[in-house]
Amino acid sequence: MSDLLNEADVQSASGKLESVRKEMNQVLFGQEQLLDMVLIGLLARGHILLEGLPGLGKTELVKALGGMLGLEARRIQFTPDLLPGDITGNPILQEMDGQRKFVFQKGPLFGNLILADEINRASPKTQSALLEAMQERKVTSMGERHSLPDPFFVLATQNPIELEGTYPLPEAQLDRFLFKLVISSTGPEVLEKIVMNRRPGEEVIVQQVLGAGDLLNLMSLVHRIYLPDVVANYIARLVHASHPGNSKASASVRFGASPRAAIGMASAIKARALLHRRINASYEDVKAVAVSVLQHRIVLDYHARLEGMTGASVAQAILDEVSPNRDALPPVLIERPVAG
Amino acid sequence: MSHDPETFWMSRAVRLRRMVNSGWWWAEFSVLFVIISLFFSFTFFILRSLDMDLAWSIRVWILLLFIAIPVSTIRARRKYIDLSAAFSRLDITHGLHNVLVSAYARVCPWPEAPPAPNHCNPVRISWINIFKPVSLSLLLMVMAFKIPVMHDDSEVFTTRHEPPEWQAVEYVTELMREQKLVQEEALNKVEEQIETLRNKPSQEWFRQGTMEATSHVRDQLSRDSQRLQRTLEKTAAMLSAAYAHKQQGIQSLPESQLNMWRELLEQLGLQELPLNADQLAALKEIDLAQLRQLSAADLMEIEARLQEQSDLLKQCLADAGMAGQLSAGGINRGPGTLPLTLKDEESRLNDVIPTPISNPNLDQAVLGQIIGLAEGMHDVDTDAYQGAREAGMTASPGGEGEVIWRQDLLPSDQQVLKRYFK
Repeated sequence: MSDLLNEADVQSASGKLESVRKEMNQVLFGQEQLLDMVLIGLLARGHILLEGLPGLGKTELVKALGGMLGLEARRIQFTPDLLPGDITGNPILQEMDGQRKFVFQKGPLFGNLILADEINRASPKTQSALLEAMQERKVTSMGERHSLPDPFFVLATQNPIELEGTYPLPEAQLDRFLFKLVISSTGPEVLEKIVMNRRPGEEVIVQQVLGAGDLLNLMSLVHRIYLPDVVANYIARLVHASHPGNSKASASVRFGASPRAAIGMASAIKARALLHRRINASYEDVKAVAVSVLQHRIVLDYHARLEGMTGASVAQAILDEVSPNRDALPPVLIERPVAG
Repeated sequence: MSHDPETFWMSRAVRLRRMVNSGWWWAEFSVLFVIISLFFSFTFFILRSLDMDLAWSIRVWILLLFIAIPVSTIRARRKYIDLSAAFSRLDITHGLHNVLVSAYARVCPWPEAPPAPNHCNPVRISWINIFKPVSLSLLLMVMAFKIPVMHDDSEVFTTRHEPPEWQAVEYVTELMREQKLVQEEALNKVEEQIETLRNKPSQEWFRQGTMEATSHVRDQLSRDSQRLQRTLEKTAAMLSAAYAHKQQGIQSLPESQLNMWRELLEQLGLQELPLNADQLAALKEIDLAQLRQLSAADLMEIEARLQEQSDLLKQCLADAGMAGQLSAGGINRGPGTLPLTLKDEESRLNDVIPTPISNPNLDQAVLGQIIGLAEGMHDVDTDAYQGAREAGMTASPGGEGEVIWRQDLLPSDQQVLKRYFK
């Protein structure tokens, strides 16, 4: 308990986070909710899968984040002919002191903030090359393990899989992403703002508001957010309900979310609590992140796909079905409507 | 209401926990209550149908209800909530982002109490759900006690009249007591037997066992009385013979008649209905071997008294229906017909409308049950006009029907008849 946050810690963190939010809103207009979720993902040390049509600002977002947080941002464009070594790095034969040796040449993966652009255009073999890096933050080549820099984030973008020339991401890799965020088109007012403030070929200039050390410090604060047992129980029941047979909403689910999803959700709600200047996580935090955590981890059966159901709709149905209250009320008592 | 926040929220959580846990207890108890009441309402109903005592089953019902209390507690305990769950509900209701749960864990300070603390209870009581099982159980109980049940037919013909043979027996014994004819102990013994039968429940008076016992007592008394009456007759005849001998100047009866006299005296003292001790002693003082010493007038007086008693007894037995024949069955043996009365609507024999009948013994009446049938003679007016008669003859003097009309029919019956004849 002594390691928990106090009000002073929260106040100091909130100032830094507020400045990041403010700067991000200068880069990407009209996407406040998306930006919050990206920030939550970063604070929770999670990788994020962004889905949306081209031209909505995905790459811009990653570049701006790197600039604001003082991180080394790399962009990898995934194509069907991209090989695993092209992203992790390759051993190169070099002559040193009269001897020929294989020297590991680091690939673009060795950065703090990696934008894996259009990840679903690469072959599954190449996609899988990211697995070790995303989970263990290490790359193995020629039997040697090479640590990736800390912090290390992958922000992958994918086009909707209905488009031609895409490979659906394997379930194991999807499970490595903390969030799947869908970037939607903006309204005419936002578009007008974009038109007025952007010019083709002109890079957006962002100010660095945090250093890598500050970010690591904020991440350590997230771990000290108090997670009440009732909230942890709510997370566990949500993840349990995503498995077929455990709830009405999961009737059309083939495979539910993994324990990794529960761990990731707990971390994400702590990050959200810090973002909202609280020292404890709450049910509201769970409700805010649950769909983003669960939607890409839920594998639907054939009939559900035919009926047009999506992982997001099923995750929302599970969220509606499972009550935050662990204990049911006796029939002689009736729940009052929730305030506000 | 200026409590500090911790006291305020703690009291709310304790109250909520108490409400929820009590609700679970009631939910468990009401299920057991309904099951027990359902079972016992059927039991009560069946016991009532069999006319058995309900006291023990009511005691068992109450005992089971008391046992249900701890059983409900044990079953409900699994669903009881703790303070943490209560704070969680309060958090949701007030949108406090789990601050109360965290404050309860001593992680953060307690939030301020809401401005309207009386409206901050996350749950409210559903009185309908509380009283539904209780009402159902009570309804079942009321039905079990109030629905009319079909009884044994013998119970319908209840205690309006006791068996007439009892009255006949008591009529005979009373006469014997008045005449001081028989020793008191013997009469008491007979009356005790009748009293024993009378002390049985009235529903059993006309059952086969009771009727057979009654017949036995009656027949025994009839036989003993007739034997006494015959012995008295013989004794009187013997005294008459002695008087005739004395008038002829004979001093003693023949030995055979003397032996017969002694046997008669012995019979009078030893039979089931022994002669009154005083009378027997007086007879024993008469020595028919010494007729000269006896007064003719005394002999005549005693003979006349014995003959009178014999005749009286004979007449009494005849009046009581015990002269000679043994008891037999028949329609007259029962308690008689039920007192059926006419109702507002007259009988329509050729109609589908059922004939209404009434029974004053309504506490045991069941719809559809035949409680009695009345069958009587056709009420034919024999004095009605039969056609042309000889001139000067009167077909009917009149008046009798009017007397019956006025004396025998109830006012309600009279109204029905009036309407009918209109």
